[in-house]
Amino acid sequence: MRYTKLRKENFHEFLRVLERYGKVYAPHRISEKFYDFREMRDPNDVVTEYPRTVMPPKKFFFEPLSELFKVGLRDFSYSTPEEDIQPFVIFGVHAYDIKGLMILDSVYMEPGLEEKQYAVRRQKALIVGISDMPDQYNFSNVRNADWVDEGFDLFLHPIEEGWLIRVGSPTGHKIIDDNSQLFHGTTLKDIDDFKEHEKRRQLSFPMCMSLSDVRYVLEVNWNNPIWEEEAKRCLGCGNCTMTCPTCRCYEVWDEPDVELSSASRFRRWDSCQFHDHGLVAGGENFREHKVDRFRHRYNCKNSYVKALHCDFCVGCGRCTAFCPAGISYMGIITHLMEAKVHED
Amino acid sequence: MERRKLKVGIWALTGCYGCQLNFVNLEDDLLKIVQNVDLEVFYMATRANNEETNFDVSFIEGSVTTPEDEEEAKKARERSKYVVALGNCAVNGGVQGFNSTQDFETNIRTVYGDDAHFHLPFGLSKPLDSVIKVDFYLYGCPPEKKDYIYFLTTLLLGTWPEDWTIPVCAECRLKGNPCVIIERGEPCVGPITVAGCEARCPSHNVACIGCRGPLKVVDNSDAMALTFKGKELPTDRILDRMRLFSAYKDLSKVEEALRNV
Ligand code: SF4
Ligand code: SF4
Repeated sequence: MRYTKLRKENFHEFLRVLERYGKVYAPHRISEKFYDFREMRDPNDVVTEYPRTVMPPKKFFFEPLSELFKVGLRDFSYSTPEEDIQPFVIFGVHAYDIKGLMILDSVYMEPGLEEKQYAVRRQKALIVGISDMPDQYNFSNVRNADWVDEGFDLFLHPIEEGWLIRVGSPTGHKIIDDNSQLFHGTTLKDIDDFKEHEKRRQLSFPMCMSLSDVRYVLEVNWNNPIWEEEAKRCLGCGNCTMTCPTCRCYEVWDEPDVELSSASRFRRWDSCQFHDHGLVAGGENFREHKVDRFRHRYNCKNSYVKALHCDFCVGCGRCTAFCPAGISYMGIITHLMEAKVHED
Repeated sequence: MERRKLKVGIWALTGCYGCQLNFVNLEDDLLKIVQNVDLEVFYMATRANNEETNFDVSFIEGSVTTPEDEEEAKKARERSKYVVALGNCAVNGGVQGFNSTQDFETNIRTVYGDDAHFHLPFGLSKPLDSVIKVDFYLYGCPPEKKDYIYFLTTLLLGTWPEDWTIPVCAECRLKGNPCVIIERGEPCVGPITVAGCEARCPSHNVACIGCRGPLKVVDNSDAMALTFKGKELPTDRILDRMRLFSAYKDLSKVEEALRNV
């Protein structure tokens, strides 16, 4: 892999340079405790240290709300919205979110089944990763998502002088080559800094265990009373799934225009935690009770991604950090792993 | 394609006329809608009301507070194919229903003292479906303009409007807001309130007070109460918060959950 160095004093210039490759979105502090990817206006507003953004980068590819197509009600014409997607840059993406995007790719870009909106945006996006320092909710190490080998153009790791950059794609190489005045060769000291940082980072992860058997543990615990007990506190608000980097459920509905000349089909992110998510024709609901919906999420997130040999959950910790009811996802999983179901 | 015009009535019981006003606020869109709609009754906009006809749809605003309200509601029901409870007063009894746990006489005396005289035979403000069958609900105080348009256009096309069954949180996250419960421990009732307002209040950094009313398909108010209790909100404030726009909601689940903490 190619490594290069970006000195602190060149950092803002580097962000400006990225603008030449498209509109730059980067982590911003949006309130006292929340961060989110927002369009960069001033490099001074970009944060490089943040625990997690409230919305995952999936929002750039799978839009939270969109019009899918329009049908003419007089001429029965059919049209899809004209889209002119320009190249854009997402700066400051953590490894678990890059892994999240790779998981989404495996679903939305499955050969022959490409989701157009997603695929077009994915091709136009440049991803600049950044190393994260885990907080108490981050268990991406346990999910093998604390590090990525691919899925980015450039990846920044902090060192004393600034940043050590890993180059991950031909576009990444081009950015470095076209702007060589901004970059420097790495020194032995930089390498020591990098190793030191990685060591500190690895030791900061709050969890150290294996979750490779988790989907089976969940499966055999289907009837565990813990589900009923824990679901009581759940608000059914859907924050856990809305903020999850790999949740993909959506709802569609049709809306006529006010002149009744056309009708559009819209799509909005949906959540398995909403009552009507399991509602089907005939009024049946295959997840009628809150406990069904609550348990479902754990099973879904821990199911197997065949294409990547991993789980759908990347351990970003959003579902715990952004649960208004304070429900801990890993807390429940460890509880289920440890609680005896058999009484002597 | 020639379309039969829908005969529509916009009726008003006890309320502030705000829901009707928001209908008028449709402005240019209203002019387009009336191409396909005959407004037979619209108290706020005209005196030429034809109450004696049969209606395809009657929107009824306001809570049932006086005997006249009840009569009016029944009259509209008899003559209408569909009845729509328009806005929070009609859907849930409105803020004026707030003190529904005490009898009306006590409420009056508390506010106006023992010497006050009232000749109007009115009582507690009740939701519309406590006296007549309601086919559709348009939530909000007032409902959003797009709610009116969506409702009428789907009906005109011969389909029907889908009910809102997702909470305000959904739209709040989609907008990329921070969460005021997590960040400031505020008693935001977004998790149990009907969406459709695009999380207007939380988007201005203000907790949702639930003006679109509680979700009808699912009741998570007990979990909501536990969350608020965890933020050290006193029980009476939790109950007030939940009653504000839904005076008749059964809070026994909430009370039980709070007793058990
Ligand atoms: S965020 Fe928490 S309270 Fe809301 S649906 Fe998910 S688990 Fe339940
Ligand atoms: S399930 Fe929770 S921890 Fe796992 S990826 Fe989704 S939000 Fe992150």
